[in-house]
Amino acid sequence: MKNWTNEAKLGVFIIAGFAVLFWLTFSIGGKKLFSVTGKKSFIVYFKTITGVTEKSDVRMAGVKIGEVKKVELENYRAKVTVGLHGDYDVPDDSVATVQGKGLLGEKFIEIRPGFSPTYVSNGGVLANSIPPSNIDDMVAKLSAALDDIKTVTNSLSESFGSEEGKQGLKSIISNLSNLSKDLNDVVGGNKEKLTQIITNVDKATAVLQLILTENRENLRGSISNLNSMSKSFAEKAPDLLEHLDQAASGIRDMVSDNRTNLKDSMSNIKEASGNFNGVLVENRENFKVAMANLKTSSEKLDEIMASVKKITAKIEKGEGTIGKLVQEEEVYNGLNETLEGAKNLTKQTGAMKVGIGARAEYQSEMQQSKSYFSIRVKPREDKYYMIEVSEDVRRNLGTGPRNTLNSLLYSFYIAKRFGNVTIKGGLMESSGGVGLDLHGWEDKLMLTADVFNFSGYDNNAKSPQVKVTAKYFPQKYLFLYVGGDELANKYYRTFFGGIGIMADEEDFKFFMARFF
Amino acid sequence: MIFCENLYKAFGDNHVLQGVDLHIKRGESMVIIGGSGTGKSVLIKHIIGLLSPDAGRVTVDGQVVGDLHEDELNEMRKKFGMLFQGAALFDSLTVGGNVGFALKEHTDLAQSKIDERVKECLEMVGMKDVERLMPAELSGGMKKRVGLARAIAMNPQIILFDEPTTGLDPVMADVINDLIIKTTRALKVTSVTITHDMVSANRIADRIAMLYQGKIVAIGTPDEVMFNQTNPAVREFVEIGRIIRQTEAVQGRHIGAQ
Amino acid sequence: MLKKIAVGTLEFVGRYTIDMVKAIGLMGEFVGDTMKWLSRKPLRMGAAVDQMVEVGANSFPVVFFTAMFTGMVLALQSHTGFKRFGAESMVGTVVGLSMTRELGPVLTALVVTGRAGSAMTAQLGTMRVTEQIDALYTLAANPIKYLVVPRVIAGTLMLPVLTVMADFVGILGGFVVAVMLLGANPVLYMEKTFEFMEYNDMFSGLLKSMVFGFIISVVGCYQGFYTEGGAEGVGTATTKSVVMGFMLIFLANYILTALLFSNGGGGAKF
Repeated sequence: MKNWTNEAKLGVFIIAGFAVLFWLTFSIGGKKLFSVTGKKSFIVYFKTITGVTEKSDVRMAGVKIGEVKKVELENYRAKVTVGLHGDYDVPDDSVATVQGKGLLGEKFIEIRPGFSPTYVSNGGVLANSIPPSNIDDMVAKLSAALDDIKTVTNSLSESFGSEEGKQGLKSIISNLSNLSKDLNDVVGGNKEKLTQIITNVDKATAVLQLILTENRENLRGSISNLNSMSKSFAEKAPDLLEHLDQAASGIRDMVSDNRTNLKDSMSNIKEASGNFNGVLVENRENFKVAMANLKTSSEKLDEIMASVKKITAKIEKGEGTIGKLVQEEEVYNGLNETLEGAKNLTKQTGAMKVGIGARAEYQSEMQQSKSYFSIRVKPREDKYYMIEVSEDVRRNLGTGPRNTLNSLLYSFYIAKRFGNVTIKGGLMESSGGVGLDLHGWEDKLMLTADVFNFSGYDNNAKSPQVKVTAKYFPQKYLFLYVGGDELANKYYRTFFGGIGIMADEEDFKFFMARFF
Repeated sequence: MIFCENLYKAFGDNHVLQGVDLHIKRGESMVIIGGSGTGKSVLIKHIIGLLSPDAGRVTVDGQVVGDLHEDELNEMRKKFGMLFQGAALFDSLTVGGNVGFALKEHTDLAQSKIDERVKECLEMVGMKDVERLMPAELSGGMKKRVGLARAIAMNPQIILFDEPTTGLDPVMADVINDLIIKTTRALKVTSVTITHDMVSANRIADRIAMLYQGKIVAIGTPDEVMFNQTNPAVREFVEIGRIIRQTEAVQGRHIGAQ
Repeated sequence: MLKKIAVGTLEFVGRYTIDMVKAIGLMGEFVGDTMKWLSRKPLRMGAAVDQMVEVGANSFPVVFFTAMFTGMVLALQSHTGFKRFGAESMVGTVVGLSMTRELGPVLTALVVTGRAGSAMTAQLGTMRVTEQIDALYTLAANPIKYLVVPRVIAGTLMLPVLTVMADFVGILGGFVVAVMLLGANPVLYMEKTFEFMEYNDMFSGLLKSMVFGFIISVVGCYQGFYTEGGAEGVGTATTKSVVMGFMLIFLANYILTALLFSNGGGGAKF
């Protein structure tokens, strides 16, 4: 290190600094770097979405598939616009829920996929949403309920935990035994009728099964939902169960004490079941007809379903016009773009923004100022074309006569933005070049590195021209900047600082409104 | 050439200058004597514009120093060279860098021309092949010489010497005195020296002014100041000078005032 | 007697106030002068490069050491706390956010104040008492331009670079402790470090560090530039410079954080 010049030491230090800066930037941005919310988006309405904000994650099965683009209030409901990444699609019968990463974690929107073969259309509405349960409310209610139960069970066990209660229980059991005997008798007397009913039910279930088979997937889904619900319930509330247990034992004690009452109710039940039996016998034929009807309608349904299946199969194979359209990605994309273009046309300048800008800087080593005139055409928010004319101040270093025409530099490049990084390429100051913009601090800060003139400017400068600029935007249309040019060529190396504007129609309007 | 008119300057309660009037003529060697802390350095710093007076004014070639803008002040300062008490060489620069500092900053000379001029100036103060040394490697006397070389590099019209012999042994002091005489005569410059060293004052002065209690109390040729004074403070201060002068007159090797 | 004491006290207060107003005025003038010369051509880039090496590259080892151990101890401490309610996975988040938002910039600034700010004062102070600053004036060269501006440029530009490195090293230190000592899952740790981090967290830290760099170099130069009283004076000035630098950094840190970078809850989304 001892023989190193100060310049070299500083160089190493600065390069290391920038390397770390890039690493940190990309690490922070990593999750967002590819969050190019593409063309697809849809809308979900929630009753409430506390905790979900712009840029919140949208996940399916825990995998991030997009992010929230916008949150608005519409008709006292939250209207959430969801942007999807890449090629993800969401079945149109999916359910959107709000979930949290842990009790205190960030909120995100979880899409529980449905089973529909069709997807939510771009810009369409996903109909099903479940509002987030407010944890605080839930906990408060639960604990209040638990307190109530506790009080009841406590008083119950105090009142009925006696010897008398135990006696009561015994008699209940013997009653129950009598009851079942009675029931047996009833059933035995109506054996034939019962057989009939059972046969009918059997038939009905067969039909039902047919229907169910068609909707098997749906059912499975809801069952698994139920399953997971009950599971989570089981996990979350062992306490509750314990209390319920206590309550049950309390009830048992209570029951034993009310033996006579119970007896009465049992005889009532007996009567009721007798009546039921009568009804069954009387309406046997009606039941039969109803069951038959059910069967025919289900058969018809079956036919319809079959034909639908045929059509979708055809579409899937790419038969017919619609099939082709749907199936051929190219056609689809083409159509999509055409539609988009048409939309843009009808909207006229709605999407396409043309900005005009100028900036002037003072170059410390050149000791002269350099100015730029720029036109920026922005067909989309994440893409623009830049046309720029500037003066080649290096020519003024020589002793020869100044020739303004000769010393003009032209740029024409295309730029595309990915998250917080913009990549540029094309003609830069009259030579091929590439560049990188890094946006930060709510787009108020922009770091730019451009490399062009790869074979050097002239014999004094044989390395590529490297230009680094830091821009600060106190307003959207106004910026201050500093930087260095020709960093790789000592002969022309210079540092500069300046001010500039870049404004499109909207900015002008804003500007005029503000100052006139 | 340089007029100080009714200068007043105070630092807090310490009233250093209390109406100094002084006229320094073109081409002469003026020595301002006075005890420590009488404000000699303050006076010289007013002349080159390092300090501005509370009242009164300093005029150099008809320009009032206090009225000058920064750029004009810098132009005026280019007429001056100054040798500081401790030489005040820039620690971070080599001897060559020190001597060539003003040339590099204020002229468009190529480095080779600057090197040439630096060598010339160093030779004038009797030094050779020291350009690459750092000031820390030099002795006190050598530093003073390099300081002088730096002061004369831009061909000044006026050179200010702040206690040129202080802190040097008598032999080295003599060498510096000779050097001052030699260079000021060779370059035909006006020189203003402040010192409390009567030996030095005796050697280099065309005229001597004595600063006492914030005022010039005596001014004139060395003979006038040393022999024709009634002010006891002045008489006491110049006593040693008087003795030297008498001895020299006897030995006939008086060089200073001609 | 009482009257004397009362008057004496009043005089003391009065004189103290006058001195303070004078000092603030002088400092304001100094900053103004610096800004004026900062905008004038030509900037002495050579001197600025030397100072950048001094402030930046040469301070790196100390900053490295400080940030590394701060990150390590942060991981240890937050682990101890989080373990009590089972949130060990958040250690990375805490280390990352603390380093980028607060500790990276502030610790770097303090270390650089102690190392480079005091050196600036000592250098300029020595130049003042040995009349080198006066010599610059007599050579028609403005010492603000020659001595102060390069240092201020270096301080303002190098502090963010050092801070970025401190952020990185601190996160690395926390990572090492969490993974090697506390048995955290390395992938999960890194994920958690950046999961909740926004660009704003880092850039706010870097912007703060720029202001700190400006403060350090201006205070360091100011104290040196107005040193009085020989070698002893240089020592006093150096001490004053470090104390004043520390106080202004803490003050500026609070003001900047309160005004610019705190949004109550949530935090500004980038």
